[in-house]
Amino acid sequence: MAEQIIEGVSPTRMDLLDIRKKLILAKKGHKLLEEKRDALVERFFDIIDKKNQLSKDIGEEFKEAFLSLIQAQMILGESKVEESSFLTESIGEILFEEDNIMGVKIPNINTQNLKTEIKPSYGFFETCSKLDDAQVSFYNILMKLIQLADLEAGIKSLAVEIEKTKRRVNVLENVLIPKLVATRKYIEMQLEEREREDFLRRKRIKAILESKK
Amino acid sequence: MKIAVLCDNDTAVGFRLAGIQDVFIPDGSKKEIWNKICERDDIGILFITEKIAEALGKYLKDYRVSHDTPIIVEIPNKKGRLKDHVDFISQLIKKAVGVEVEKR
Repeated sequence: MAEQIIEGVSPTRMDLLDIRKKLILAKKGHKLLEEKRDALVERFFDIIDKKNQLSKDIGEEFKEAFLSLIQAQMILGESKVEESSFLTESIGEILFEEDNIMGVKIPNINTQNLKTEIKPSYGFFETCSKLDDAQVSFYNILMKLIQLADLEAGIKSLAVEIEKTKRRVNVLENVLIPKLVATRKYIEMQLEEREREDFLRRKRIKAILESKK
Repeated sequence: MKIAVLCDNDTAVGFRLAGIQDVFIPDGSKKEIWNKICERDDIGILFITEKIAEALGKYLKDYRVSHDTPIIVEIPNKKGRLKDHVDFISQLIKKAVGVEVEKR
């Protein structure tokens, strides 16, 4: 790529000083953004590790839970299980809070209002223990799923922020800083050229004046 | 905020047992029920089975990009996880980091 200079600059000492200031600022910003990006990515990997572990756990627990559910369905019949399922009390509601990681807002789920344990509310007269098993394991899965939701929301906002930061770093690194450097060089060369011309002119005038004497 | 589930019949029974009362079961048109869920603003977390997520495809993806809540989590159904299904979060990770991150 040919080096481009910023449009609209005139090769003067004023502009040179300006460009120098801008270059220092851009370099500082670039360094800061790079640090931010690295910190975010580090944090991101942490969360991804946790999330992978959790979703693996959940997958296995789902298998077990469905097994007990199917067994309950076999013993009691599907319609009976479905009827019983309607009897469970509501688990309650969740609250959202906001966490802040390096200026990125991350939703945080507050589970204070949820019930901490679950009791069967159907009659144990007509049901079997497999249904209890299924209920407990589904409840446990639900708790883990809420954690997973928390992590996934974090991943989403972090991913968006990382992309944004990455783009900014790349723009500074590949476009703005090279442009500024090229412009500085252009101005410096122009100024030097003008000085040389001036020097030559003065010499010439001096020579003419000498010869006239 | 409430927790809701969009899933098939069997999964619905399980989640009802665990105490979730906002259970949506699509009968016929999945899009219709999806629009109904979109209109509600009291849902904080939505669990959705991978099969339905796959069927909704683009609608779901667009919604997730533009909205922060509800948080949508994909769950396996009775037969386990779909084999060649790539969930949204993995796609996002791949886009942000540039490589797929997997720890074995």
